[in-house]
Amino acid sequence: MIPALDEADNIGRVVTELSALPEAPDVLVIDDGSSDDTREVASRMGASVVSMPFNCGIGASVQVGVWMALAGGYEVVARFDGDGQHDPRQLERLRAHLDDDTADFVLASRYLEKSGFQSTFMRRLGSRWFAVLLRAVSGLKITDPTSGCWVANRKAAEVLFEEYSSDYPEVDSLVHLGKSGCRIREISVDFRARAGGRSSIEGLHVLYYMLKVTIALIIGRVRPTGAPNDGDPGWISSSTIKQSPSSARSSR
Amino acid sequence: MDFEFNYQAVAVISTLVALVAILELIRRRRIQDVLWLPWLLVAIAPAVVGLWIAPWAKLAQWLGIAYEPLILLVGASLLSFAMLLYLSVVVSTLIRRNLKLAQELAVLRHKVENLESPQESE
Repeated sequence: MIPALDEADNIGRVVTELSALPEAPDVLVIDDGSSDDTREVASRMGASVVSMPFNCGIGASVQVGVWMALAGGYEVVARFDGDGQHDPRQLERLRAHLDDDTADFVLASRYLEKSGFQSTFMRRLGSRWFAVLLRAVSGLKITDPTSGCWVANRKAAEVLFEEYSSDYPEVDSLVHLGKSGCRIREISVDFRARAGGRSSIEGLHVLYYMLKVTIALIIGRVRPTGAPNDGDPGWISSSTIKQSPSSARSSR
Repeated sequence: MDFEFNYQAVAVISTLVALVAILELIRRRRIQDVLWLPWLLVAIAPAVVGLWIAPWAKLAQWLGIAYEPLILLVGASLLSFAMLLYLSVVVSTLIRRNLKLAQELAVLRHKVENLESPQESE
């Protein structure tokens, strides 16, 4: 799945690269209320596209992708960013750890071996802060907790579907996964520089991001598992999704 | 005596005005039932304080507040805090449900699009 907001400049390349893999996965783009041609470009490149009715935040978009994967009966779900930072050729490496059952959730890290694109100093510093905090509150040793590239099996996907922050969800979702007994593994992956467009975390957003994630990490440790019950989403069972061939292909 | 009557009258009138305003908003369905009770409690607060001032004065003395009327300010602040907290919980619930509805709408729309144009999806 590729959550995307205003990524018309990059999304085509990401979809094309994923589709060109030897074992091409089904590609689902979740358009989070883009004001550009993200939806059209992704669709033209052969991806299945789900459009959020308005900008709901990256977490809500990822949750839709996870939801469709679970409902479609898929055993593995992967997340790639729409800005082209993640090399789709790494998908098989990430997935290998799920296949040999040594992990439930595999996270791509740009800092484990410090190779490839390393981001700015301030971002590395922020990531380091979250890594230290994550280890303190949950005991997880993660070098790149803000990474948006991962693969998950059904066990981890069900945890993410149950609870996933609507904005800046990456770090506190690791706490939730850890608390739920999921085995988390991190492997070194070379990231690439953003091909075009702008990051959503700039200017004052950085301050909000740091504060929000720090508080969410600490609260997440003492929070009971399970989101408030807002009704049963069971209407979209695997049978209803499977009636649609394109839906089933889209997230496997 | 006059002074006491004045503030008690003001308290009762304030409560009546607030009650009329809130009940009218409820009647027009401008306030949902989940918010009726908190607002009605807020509305009757001035009358409760104005008509039974002695217990509040005693409470102020017990708390060691030298200027007794200050207890009213403390009470009003606490009531405002409680009301804002309650409203935050209500708004948070709405945000969460709004996102859930948006997610369901997105998935449903995707499904409908596939049903409407099966040749494109195959």
